[in-house]
Amino acid sequence: MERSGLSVELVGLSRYYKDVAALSSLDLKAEAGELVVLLGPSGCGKTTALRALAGLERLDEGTVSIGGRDVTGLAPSKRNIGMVFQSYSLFPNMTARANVEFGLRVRKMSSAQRAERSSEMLELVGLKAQADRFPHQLSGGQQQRVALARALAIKPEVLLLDEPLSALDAKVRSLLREEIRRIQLELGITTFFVTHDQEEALALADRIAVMNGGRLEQFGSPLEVYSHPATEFVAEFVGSVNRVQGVVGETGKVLVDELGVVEYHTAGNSGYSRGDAVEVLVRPEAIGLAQDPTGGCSIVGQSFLGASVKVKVATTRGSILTCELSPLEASQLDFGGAVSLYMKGPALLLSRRTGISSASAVEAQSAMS
Amino acid sequence: MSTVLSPTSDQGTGGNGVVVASSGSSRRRPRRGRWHNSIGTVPFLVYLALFLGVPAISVIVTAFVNGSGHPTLSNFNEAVHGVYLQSFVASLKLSFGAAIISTVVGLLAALAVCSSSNRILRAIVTAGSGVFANTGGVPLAFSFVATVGNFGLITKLLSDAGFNPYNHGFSLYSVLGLTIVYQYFLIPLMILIMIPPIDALRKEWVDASSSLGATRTQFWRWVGIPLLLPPILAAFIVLFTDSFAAYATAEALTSGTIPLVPIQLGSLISGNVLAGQTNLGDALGAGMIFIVVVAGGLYIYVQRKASRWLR
Ligand SMILES: Nc1ncnc2c1ncn2[C@@H]1O[C@H](COP(=O)(O)OP(=O)(O)O)[C@@H](O)[C@H]1O
Ligand SMILES: [Mg+2]
Repeated sequence: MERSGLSVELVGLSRYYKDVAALSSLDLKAEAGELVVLLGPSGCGKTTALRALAGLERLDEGTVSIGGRDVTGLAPSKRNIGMVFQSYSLFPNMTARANVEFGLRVRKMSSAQRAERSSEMLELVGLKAQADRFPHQLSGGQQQRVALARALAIKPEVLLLDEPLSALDAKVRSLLREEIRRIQLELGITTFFVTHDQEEALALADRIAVMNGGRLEQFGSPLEVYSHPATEFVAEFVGSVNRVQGVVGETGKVLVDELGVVEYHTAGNSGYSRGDAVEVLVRPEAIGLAQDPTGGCSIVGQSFLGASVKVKVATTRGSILTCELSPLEASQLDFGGAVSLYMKGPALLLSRRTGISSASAVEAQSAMS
Repeated sequence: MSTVLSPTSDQGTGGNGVVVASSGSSRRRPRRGRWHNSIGTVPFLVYLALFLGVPAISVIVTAFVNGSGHPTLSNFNEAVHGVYLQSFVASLKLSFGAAIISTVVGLLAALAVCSSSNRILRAIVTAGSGVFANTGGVPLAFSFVATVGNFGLITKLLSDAGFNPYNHGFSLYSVLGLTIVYQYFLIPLMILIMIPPIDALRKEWVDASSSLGATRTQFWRWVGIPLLLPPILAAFIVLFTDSFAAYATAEALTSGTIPLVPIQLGSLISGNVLAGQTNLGDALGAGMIFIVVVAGGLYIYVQRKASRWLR
């Protein structure tokens, strides 16, 4: 059962449909045994990238190598890649077991060996008892388990999963997600997992590749992508953000009307100088709320999310900011009374603001010093 | 709905995964229903009883009596001898041959249409098939007479080129001729019947099979053909019964020179033969009903075998 995966490298992948670039010069390298999540909105090229890796999609430019071997021109049937699709990919005329044995039959394995291997695989995904059912006699989650067993039965060098959980309901989805991760770690197989669900991506990935419009926006660990987004797109797509107006002050600080002096990381936000008008992106959980009769802010809405409470606050500036508090913090607040806002941590990202008058920028600057 | 054969179709969610939806399989049919669940079918059942059940029963009943109303088997005795036996043999030959040819040709055409990314071609073929599948009778017979008849345009061109098919055993006014003429409406009918089940083959099945290492041939052998078999069988039976019962085209083309069951039956009913022959006609009718019922039974049997994964 034990095996070590192979590294996978995509270099300069491009694919055009007429004038639409489904992929444009995508570079990505997965280390051996790594689980890489391709994350992005619908239509950003995730499926195209995955299909190109599997050899199911023609490429206009670029190369694919697996374990250092260039497989760009290789037919899908020669790549030894396991693939799981969103739904309805099981052969409906075959039982679960026959589906799992399909790739083995192609490989001319003896029926005794096939039976042994398929039992082993069905056991791995917890479906031994349903081996003789046809796909339509299985639930959506069970079907996806069979699809996974079928993909793994051929001992693939790489496993590709294209939104395998998105047709399932929330409970089954998170259960199966954990199981996929368990199996992937157990087998040590290099895996690409496509999703448009940021929560799924954060929960599963060794590294996340955030894609947008056929391009790679950022490639990093879940923590990096969440805490240090490279672009505004990543900041907004992975997690949620508040946008407020600010003016850059001394190094690493920016003045925001609603929040006062806010710190920012200069490493990810270079090229700003004192007096620059910027938009400041702030995570809801980075904003704290304090009971403050002179604060001038009021709570205008709240929703309880279980592990946290989302609170909407109307500021003195007329803007509405979203804060995320722990239930404990929330329980200590008088929701009817005035509050003030403070920063619990640094800003997420700055972005250049255009069209502000230099007079007000100078004014703001002098107010800061 | 993404499909195997149409490269332009978008892959998305949705689709019901029912492969052979058009073939009338028994999938998802409730075993037991309360009476009010099926009350909507009552008008249809009444219609069936009045326009199919009653005539069929009266045909069968009168087939067992003679001209003066006494029970007899002589009608059947006559119906399976001489010219009537010949007509059954000729009709079966004709409809079997015509159905086989149109099943194969129509299937290949439907596969070609579904695999083309040209939407205009597809629209034209579908609309055209709808028209041609309903063409028959005198207009159809005439168009064939005018082209490949004794003195038809194509016959003339071929003769001028030194090959007159009529000197080599071909005749439009024969079982072979009719088999060819029937293709005119049978092939389009086959195309119409097969497009939906071919469309229902999902692209994911092809992709999954090739990523599992299978060749195109292996995909068709283990997945594609097994899934298409039930609708193909269903279509074959439809084509068979359609040509078995076709009357107007054969009558117009051969004016009764070939003994086919519907034509014999027609002349018995229209009464240009002796009075009292209508009971013989009923026996022929009962024979036709028998053959259609056998074909239907065979179909249900094979269909069940071929689509056991649906239950
Ligand atoms: N066969 C195709 N023909 C035309 N455009 C396509 C085709 N397949 C994908 N596209 C386009 O390429 C882009 C990327 O598609 P896809 O990789 O499926 O995105 P994702 O999987 O991220 O939702 C989309 O804009 C889509 O419309
Ligand atoms: Mg996709």
